[in-house]
Amino acid sequence: MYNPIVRTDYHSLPVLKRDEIDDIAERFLRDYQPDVFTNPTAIDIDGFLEGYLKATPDYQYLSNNMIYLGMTVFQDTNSIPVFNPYKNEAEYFSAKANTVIFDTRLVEEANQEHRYRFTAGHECGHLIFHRPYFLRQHRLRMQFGIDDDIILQCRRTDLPGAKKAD
Amino acid sequence: MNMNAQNFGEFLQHKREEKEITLRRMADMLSVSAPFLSDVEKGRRNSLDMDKLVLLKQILDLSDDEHQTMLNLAGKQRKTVAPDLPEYIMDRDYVSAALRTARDLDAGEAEWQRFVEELKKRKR
Repeated sequence: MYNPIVRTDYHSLPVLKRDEIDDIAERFLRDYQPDVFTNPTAIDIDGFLEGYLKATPDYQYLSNNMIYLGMTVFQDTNSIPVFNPYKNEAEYFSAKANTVIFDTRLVEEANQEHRYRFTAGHECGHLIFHRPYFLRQHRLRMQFGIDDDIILQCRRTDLPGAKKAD
Repeated sequence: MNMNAQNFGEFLQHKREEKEITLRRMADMLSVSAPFLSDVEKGRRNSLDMDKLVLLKQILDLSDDEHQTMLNLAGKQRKTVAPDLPEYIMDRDYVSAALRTARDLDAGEAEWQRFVEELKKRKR
């Protein structure tokens, strides 16, 4: 598996130019699905997420209004806030580390495939680049007795073509 | 992986990943939704119905032993016998009677094993 070496700041966050991100993405693709460079076809984003990055997909209503499309879980937790549409209320949900949770509507509603695919790729980016940052944050917060969850919620406004937050 | 320690969902996920089939692809092959299949794999829903289990045997190319393990796990998850057995038992009162006798006489695994071997010999 390709393992990019990246500069990070003192928070363990990668410091990258756009060109460098593009280059890293291409190197991943050359490693995972090299035939697309000679025979252009859709990237198998599910295979990349599950088979290559060894992440587990899961599906929940992440909000009542689809403000969150995806979520990356870096550590086992049983307190992820999700929406229960049958009870019309928020509740907590459990997930293991390395789980990517998609809003259920992305895979069950019509004409959402493009959003699903982009969200999957976006969450793959978090898995690749942001684990050290979140684990470090967790360690630091634990030193102050704060044991909160290591999850990253992605608003639809983080994704291209989205309207500004409601 | 220790097959005895698994539940149905873990078994399914393990075999699916072994075959390099993604969750959405498998859901498509079984004509169920990805969230539904994810719930099954994580034990949040009951195991699949018999028609889907038949399909799974083909998709995952299960051996006879693995197939039996899958059916037993599917039954256990539903807190009942393996889903391929109720019809067989219901259609044959003598099977129910035999099972009750075995239960009342506290027949052990070794006795059942001898009985099964005897049946197999007759089939040869």
